[in-house]
Amino acid sequence: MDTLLFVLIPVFPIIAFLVIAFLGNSMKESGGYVALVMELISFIISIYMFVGVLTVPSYSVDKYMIWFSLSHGPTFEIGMLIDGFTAIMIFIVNLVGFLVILYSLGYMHADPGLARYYAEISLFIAVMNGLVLSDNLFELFIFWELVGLCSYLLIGFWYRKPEAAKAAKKAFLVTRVGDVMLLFGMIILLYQSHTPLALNFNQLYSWAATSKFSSAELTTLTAATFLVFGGAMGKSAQFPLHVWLPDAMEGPTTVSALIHAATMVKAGVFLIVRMMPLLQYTPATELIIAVIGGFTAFFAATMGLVAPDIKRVLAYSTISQLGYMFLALGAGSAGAAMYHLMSHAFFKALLFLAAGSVIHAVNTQDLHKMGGLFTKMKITAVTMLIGGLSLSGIPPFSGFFSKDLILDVVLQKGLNNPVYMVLYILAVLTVLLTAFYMFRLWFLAFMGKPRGYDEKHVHESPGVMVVPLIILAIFATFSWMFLLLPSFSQILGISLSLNIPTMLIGVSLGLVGIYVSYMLYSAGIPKKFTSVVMKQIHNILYRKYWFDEVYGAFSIYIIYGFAKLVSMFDKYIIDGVIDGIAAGGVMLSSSLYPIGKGLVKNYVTLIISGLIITFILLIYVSPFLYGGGI
Amino acid sequence: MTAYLVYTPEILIMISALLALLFDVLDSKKLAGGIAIILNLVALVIILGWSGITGSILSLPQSGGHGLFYFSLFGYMFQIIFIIVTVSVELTTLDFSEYNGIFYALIEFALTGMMIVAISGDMVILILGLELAGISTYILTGYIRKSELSVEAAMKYYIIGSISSSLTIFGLSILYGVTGTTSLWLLNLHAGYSYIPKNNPLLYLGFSFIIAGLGFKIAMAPFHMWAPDVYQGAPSPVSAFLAAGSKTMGFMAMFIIFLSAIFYFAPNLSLLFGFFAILTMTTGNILAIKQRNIKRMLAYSSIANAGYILIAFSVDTPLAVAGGMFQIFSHAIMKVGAFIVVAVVSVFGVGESITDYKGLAKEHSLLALSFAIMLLSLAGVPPLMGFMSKFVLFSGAVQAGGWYILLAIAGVLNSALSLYYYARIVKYMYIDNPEPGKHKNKKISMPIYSYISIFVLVVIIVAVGIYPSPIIGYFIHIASQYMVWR
Repeated sequence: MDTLLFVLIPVFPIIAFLVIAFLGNSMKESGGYVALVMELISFIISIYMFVGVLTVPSYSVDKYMIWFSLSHGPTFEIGMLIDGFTAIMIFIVNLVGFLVILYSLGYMHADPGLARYYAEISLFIAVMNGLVLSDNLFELFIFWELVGLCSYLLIGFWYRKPEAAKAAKKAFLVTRVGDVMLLFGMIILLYQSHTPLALNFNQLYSWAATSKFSSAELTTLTAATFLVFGGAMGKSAQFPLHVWLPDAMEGPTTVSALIHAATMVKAGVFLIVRMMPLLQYTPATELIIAVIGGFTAFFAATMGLVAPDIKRVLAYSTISQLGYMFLALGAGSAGAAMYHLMSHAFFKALLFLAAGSVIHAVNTQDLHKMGGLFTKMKITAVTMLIGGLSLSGIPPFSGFFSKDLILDVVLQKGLNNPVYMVLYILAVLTVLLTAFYMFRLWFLAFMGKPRGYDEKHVHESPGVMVVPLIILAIFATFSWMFLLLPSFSQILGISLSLNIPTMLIGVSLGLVGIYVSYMLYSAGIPKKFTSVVMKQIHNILYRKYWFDEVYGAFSIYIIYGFAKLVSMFDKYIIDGVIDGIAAGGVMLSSSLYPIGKGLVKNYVTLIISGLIITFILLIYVSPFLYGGGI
Repeated sequence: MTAYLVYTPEILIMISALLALLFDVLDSKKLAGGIAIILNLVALVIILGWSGITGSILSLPQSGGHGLFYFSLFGYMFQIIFIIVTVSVELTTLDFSEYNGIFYALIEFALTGMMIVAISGDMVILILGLELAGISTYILTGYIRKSELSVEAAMKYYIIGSISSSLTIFGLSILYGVTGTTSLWLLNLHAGYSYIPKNNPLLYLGFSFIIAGLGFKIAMAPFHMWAPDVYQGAPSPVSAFLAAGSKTMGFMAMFIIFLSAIFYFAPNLSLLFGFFAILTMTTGNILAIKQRNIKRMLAYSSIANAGYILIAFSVDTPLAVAGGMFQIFSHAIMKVGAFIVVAVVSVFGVGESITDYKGLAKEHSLLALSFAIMLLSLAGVPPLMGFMSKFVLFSGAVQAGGWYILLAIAGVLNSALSLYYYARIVKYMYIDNPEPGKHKNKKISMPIYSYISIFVLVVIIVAVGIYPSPIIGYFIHIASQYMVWR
């Protein structure tokens, strides 16, 4: 394989970004085609990479060039690390990226900000590819921030809508908490590891493998890996930094599908996958990851049970599924996490795009106003059903295999460790909740009777939107077949081995969830709960455990109060000093201004006095300061 | 015969000057400029080959003494800067009708002088080069004879330049009297200074005169007063040449004379240069704040940059000298670019007052973008070249430790101060609306050659800023090679 070819994967979307950003306003709709063609080229190269890596499963190449180095400090480089994980992730990013741009041609049709949309989406795909290709943590962090920026821009794409602007700000600020943790983790790692190339993944691995850590060093390493996981928590919306993702649904649905389901939110998982060789030395961090992942999976699923907004249900589902991936990582299986990441990318992108198709038709995101769409939008309904079955872990869809792998891994670990056993039980219960909220969504949208939308204008979406749905549905159904390839299993270190008891438990709970939701929702919205307990539970879930309120109060009273204090300090002390310097500078500037008055004789006088000062300094002052000398 | 091949670049440039005179008689301006540019580029390619940057295409001794001359990677580096600056200025002037063959002849003569300074191994040759470059630039400053400002600037420049030259020459003669040799490379590379008693006051008198004389060339405070007047009065391309070329030549001369002297007379000279570094950068930045004229502002910014570069003289370690050279290089590129933009926008009817730049981005987005990149690079905003060069220079001072850290702190504080007046222009260009009645778009032909040179300079600024590793490595290599006496 010609490794240098892969440099081009982020280059083509960048070209699209530049072309659309500079010429977009005169191009109108054709900007979309530029983005599509450029992304198609990148997609083809990533297929080449994927196939190439599949033929040589042990492939791992690190190509880099020195960026800058300081004689007594770390050497920073930029480069590409290409191995099995890279290839799988690159394949997912570009496949979904391509399909989403194709879908956007229909979905975003005639939006006034079209050029901005395609420019930002192309930029996002480029930097996401850069993130995946990074061969060191520092470079990854740069792209990490850039994908965060693109996410911010695209959530706030309809920035005239106050909710969208607010959601963008929230996403930016909440993920920033994680980013600061990641940055601190990187700094600790940089100073602890002292690898010749700063924070290069391969060198970190061999450093960790060869050094004998003392217990103090292990504590430091645990802190570092935990802080790195903090970054992943922010980006992948894990408890307690999960609050931004549901709000991020204010962006266009295509953005939710690409960024907030299939790619960017997976960056946290991918980061931890990259850190796995270090994590095996810090079981404490592994346990934290597993606990947070397992808890988030359950916790987010409960909030998904009652959400009225079609996209928010999917957002909670994304958080929950990401929790599964972290649970697998915490149980020490990067392969299971990576495989679930892949199948989730396909079925969740499918679900979002199908939801987009529904929203496109009925012009509302409220499930209570949908219903009875099955007969009008057959393709959307069927593809969404496939996505839902895959998400619920029903065989033979790919979600079944990937979820089963995770449950199996956690159970194996749970046989020796009671904490993991608890997490396993939580994960199994989550399967029930997942099936329930997913089919609640599907029944409310497609079954029952229409509840207040304009029935005459509802029709199936145009071809450019339906084709991506069908392609993704095929992937959501059959992507488990990748596991039949020995090389693919070898890359991930997993195999298609069915553990009958866990499988039976998972499938039966999934079916129960579907059955319950069928009972409750197939005929429309059920009557209000009568029991007080159920009412209270519903209320708690509906208000999202008051997280927004608590965070709001926290930020208003504590953070804002602290900020006020800092701001006072800043205003009166720091600004005072700086303004003082500036004012002094301006004053000095004005008072020095007339010196010389432009007269040559004054200049010469100054030159001669300068000469005399020089001589005096040399002969008298320096020796005086240093003693000795002359 | 082959012994003379080492002078090929200088000879080529001399020939281009003479050809330009010839074509001036034939009244063929484009031809004069074109041939000058082509011959300069040929010389550039040859020097790049010798300096090992493009690989050795011409295998000549990379360094060594030839009596009056001394060839080194150090000198070649400076020659490369001189040629880049000259070619950029010449490209720009091709777009303007007022410059004819004489202009190219003068600028090529000045370039010859600078090239000679870069390879001089002897005081006599050094003075010859300095004077050849100096006299040519006096005339260039007054090139627009009908402009009162231009003539006044030329007169000032000439008088003060002559006084400073005499100071330099007097200082060098004292140095000769003390050391008994006019050979600079004997003094530098053969530890010539180390035989002189450290407490010889006559030597320090000589140094004082040389510093005063060359301080004029590099616009070091308090010898800087001429610079704003001259940069303002001279035609903008000439200002570019003075700020980027002539100043660089002054630094080259100072490097040749002082680099090993600082080592041998360490505390005294080191302290003196440290003092001048802080004085110069502070004076330059503080006075720049008040300027209303863009060319005067750039002149003061150029003075401030001289202050930064003087840190390298004070610290005098390989890393600091490499940083100093990098700063010289980046300053030359950024400053020549900035003055070229000033020259080009004047074609579009934008005046020299900084308020004339209001709303420039709305009408000339490419020019405004280039100017913003250059100004932000001058201010030291990452990831541009100006940030990287300052970064290396200041890390050199920090690495040396001791009181040199103060120089780095002064440099950082000054950079922060300088951001004010650079960012103000960027704000004017991008945020403010144009003042009514300004920016009358005169019907003119596109200044295509200027655009080419601006484009190339911007590419250098951005590319080196993003990927500085090879160039930093090269500068450190040159600096440690030149400082073999350590």
